[in-house]
Amino acid sequence: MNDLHISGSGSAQGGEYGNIRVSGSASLSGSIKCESIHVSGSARCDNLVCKNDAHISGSFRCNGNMECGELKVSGAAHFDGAVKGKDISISGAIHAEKSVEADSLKISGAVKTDGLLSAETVSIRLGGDSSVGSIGGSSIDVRRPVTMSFLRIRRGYILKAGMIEGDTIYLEDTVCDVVRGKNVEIGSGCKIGRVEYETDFKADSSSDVGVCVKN
Amino acid sequence: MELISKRELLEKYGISYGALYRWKRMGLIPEEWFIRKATPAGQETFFNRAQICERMDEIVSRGDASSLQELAESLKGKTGGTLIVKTNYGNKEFDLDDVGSVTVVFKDGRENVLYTEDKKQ
Repeated sequence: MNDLHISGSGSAQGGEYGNIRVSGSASLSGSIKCESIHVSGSARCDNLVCKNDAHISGSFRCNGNMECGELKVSGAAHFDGAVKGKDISISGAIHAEKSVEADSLKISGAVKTDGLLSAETVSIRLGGDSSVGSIGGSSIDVRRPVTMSFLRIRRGYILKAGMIEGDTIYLEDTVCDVVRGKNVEIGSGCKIGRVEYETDFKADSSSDVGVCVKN
Repeated sequence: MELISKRELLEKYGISYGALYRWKRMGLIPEEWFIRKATPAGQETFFNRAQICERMDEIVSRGDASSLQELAESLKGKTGGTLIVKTNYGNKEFDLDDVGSVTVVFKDGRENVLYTEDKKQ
């Protein structure tokens, strides 16, 4: 399969490619299938299926659905369609109109989506105000980023979520209507409407939990 | 239509939230089956009891991951085959799941459809 290299600014049509490399800016139209894609700079595309890894440093926009093996974004990414991957790690900002699904999902930064974040392990380090429709998975971990306490001058960020469901859940700085899980631990800075748990429940005294039910 | 709540379903089959979401990601449980409703206890998810229980029985009876993968692919209607076009300059291969149809058009306008996605010939 042919490789595609764009240095500077360029555009390409949909089709099947080997490795796609963009340094600069590229606009890829139509449905694209490739082995791997590396973008430094900016790129936009429609539908993208990437068999192996997709590395984006800079900005990236996908107008359609995206499917990939490993997805690494440093910078900003905007997805108008659904995102599916094995390993997704994002540092920076991600905005998804639909769902984001992966085996492992790691976000440090800000995330915005109305849909579902679903992964075996979801780990979020809040680096910006975030909002998600719901989160579902096996282990879910939301924390504020590590800072040295005497340097903490900026205000904390908050994750807003409609529903969080998982087996093991740990939350910090989260505002959520319903949390359901087996082992639920609510750290500091949370405001939870309702918690339903099976085995274990712990809550930090600084957090506000409305109703708590053991199933 | 009789409904079953997500929690009741998890209890009935003794599975975890993680497993349910995993199966959903694999495509074993379609997105449309999730019926979201506002209840006094916050948003709850329901399923059509008959529909989901039949699928659950099938999933639970399979057990290991590789046969679940097979089930997911058969539900998606994937063939997993390859279309090979041999030319004088080398072979070109396409994933059969990506192929809509294969048509040969002759000079006089005659068309011969060799393959269409739904026929799976």
